[in-house]
Amino acid sequence: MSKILVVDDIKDNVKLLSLDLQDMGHDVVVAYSGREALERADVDRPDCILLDVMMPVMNGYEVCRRLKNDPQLRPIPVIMISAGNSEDDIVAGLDAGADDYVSKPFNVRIVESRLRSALRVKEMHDDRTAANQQLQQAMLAAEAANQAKSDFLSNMSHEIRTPMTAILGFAEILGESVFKPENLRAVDTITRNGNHLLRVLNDILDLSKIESGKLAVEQIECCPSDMVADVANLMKARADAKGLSLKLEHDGPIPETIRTDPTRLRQILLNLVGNAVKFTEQGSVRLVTKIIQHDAQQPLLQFEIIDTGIGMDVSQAASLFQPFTQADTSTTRKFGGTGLGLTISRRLARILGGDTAASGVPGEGSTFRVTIATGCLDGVKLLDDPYRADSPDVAPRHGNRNKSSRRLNCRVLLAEDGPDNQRLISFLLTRAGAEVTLAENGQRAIELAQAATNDEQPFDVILMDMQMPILDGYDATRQLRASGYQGPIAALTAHAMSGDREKCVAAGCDHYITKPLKRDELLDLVHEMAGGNSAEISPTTSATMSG
Amino acid sequence: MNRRILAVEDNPDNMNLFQWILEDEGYEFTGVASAEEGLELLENHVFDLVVMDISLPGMDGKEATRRLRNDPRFRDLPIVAATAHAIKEEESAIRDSGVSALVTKPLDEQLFLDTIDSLLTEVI
Repeated sequence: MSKILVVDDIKDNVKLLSLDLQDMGHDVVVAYSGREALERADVDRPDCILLDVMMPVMNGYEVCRRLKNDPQLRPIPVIMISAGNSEDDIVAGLDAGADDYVSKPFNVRIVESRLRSALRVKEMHDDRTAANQQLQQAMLAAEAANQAKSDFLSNMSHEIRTPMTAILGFAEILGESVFKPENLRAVDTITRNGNHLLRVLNDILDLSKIESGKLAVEQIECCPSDMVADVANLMKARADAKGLSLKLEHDGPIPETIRTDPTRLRQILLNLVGNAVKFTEQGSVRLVTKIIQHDAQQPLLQFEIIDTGIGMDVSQAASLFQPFTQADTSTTRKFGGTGLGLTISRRLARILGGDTAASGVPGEGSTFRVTIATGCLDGVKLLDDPYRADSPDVAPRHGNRNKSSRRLNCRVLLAEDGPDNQRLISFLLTRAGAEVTLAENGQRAIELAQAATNDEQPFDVILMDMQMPILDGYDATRQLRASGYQGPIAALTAHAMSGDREKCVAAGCDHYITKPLKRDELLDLVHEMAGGNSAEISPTTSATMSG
Repeated sequence: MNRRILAVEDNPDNMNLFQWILEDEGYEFTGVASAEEGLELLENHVFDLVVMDISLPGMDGKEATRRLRNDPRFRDLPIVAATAHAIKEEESAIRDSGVSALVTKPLDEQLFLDTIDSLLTEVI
């Protein structure tokens, strides 16, 4: 049974129509004016409204417009009933928002039929609204579940880091006072495994960020061959330790610059090259770069990492990019690893407009292929010999535990807005003997650097935080270089994992150091920049960059 | 006279770690397991610096820091937050509570000591 609102200022008309409707089995509500009609519609929420047009004060058109302007009442179908039968009358009624139009004198059977049609439409609308509401609720539930997952991960991360603090902290203390080789090995094992656990944790957080779409990706111009050489540099020590040769090759010319997210590309390459070194006992790891250009498609840069390691069969290759999958579980025991690196690499490659693939022969070796979009290459120089000068060469890092060993005698401009780092960096440099001038943003840094140069007392070193208010470090460095400033500038960035070196180089920085800053790294870097001996600088933290 | 450091930390192993590192560096060390005890102790004893764990039973480290900052006597007391939270949002919430510096767990011992040293030695 449907509820019908009948609106007409003439009582006899209402009565007549009501009787017919009740005969049809409907529940009838009546209103004798436009205003009353709006009230009844609001209170009774009828399934359909039969609305007379000619009424004093507020006519049917106006009532209809008001009904259709109210989001709550809009879905109720309105059938206008009017003595006017002209084309204009009908158009005016439908334009006011009526769903149907019946002329007087009306035929009861036609009204009945039109009413049934309107009610069917209303019923479909109600069903759809209910379905939408269910969908909406399901979506809210899914979002809540996803939020719960994020909260869980964040809590779990906290719960794991807390005991790791004690484990790693005491292992370090123990390591300083242990001299028997077997005990040192035990301490080293604790530390290595603890750090591994933290890496697993970071990988899980990374993957969860990718899956929830919260990973911010940049598009920056960068030099792929520099990045490859850099990755090789970082991996060289590990390859050397196993007696593996690490070779950089290219198949055809390579663009000098591409547009991508260098931080993420680096992460992928470090992952894949790191894997290759890990799973190869003897022989070589080759990294082959190649540009793939199909007509009408945007060009891709392909990196192939080819090793002579344990290899894999077809089914292993297929499942390798799933989370927590290694070729078999004994692999995990033998080689360690989070089992997330390849999953993260594949997701990142896809975000960067490419993909990953793997193939191999058990016992003979594996090939991992990753592609990324390069952006438009029109007008970009192609290098025929991108790895010419870059046989990766790494100076081993000599840890320097002695606090006061490094003395500085130089003037440093520190552009940094964060109070923690202002204080810590100034403190460390000043204690080491340097004179520190502070700039709280990029604009101020430019002013101070230029003023000092004009006074013929230029700073020996500029340390430039990259994220600063007013003018950031990238723009400040660009502007300084554009104005002819030639002194050394080191970028300070908070990109903990792999850094965004290329972006900093592009801006004109010639050194690079990541936060959180370590005392020795900072002092070594400033020492080197001010003209000291660069041989003791660790390439992992403060390598001088070409470009 | 040795500088006096109060550590608020509910995990006994991490408390031992703080004590070991800080006493080894020559600081006079006092530890309490809750923010409530820490605030009470600060009423009657003078400390040069507070190391504050953030996740604590009862009052958390952020609330304790806010209360200290609202008290003129402790407005300039150096407070180093030590947190195992690796999430950016939480980090800014901790900073907003008014801590002087923040270090993350697991601790980088050298960074931790340099941070404390820099807060106790006014350079700028």
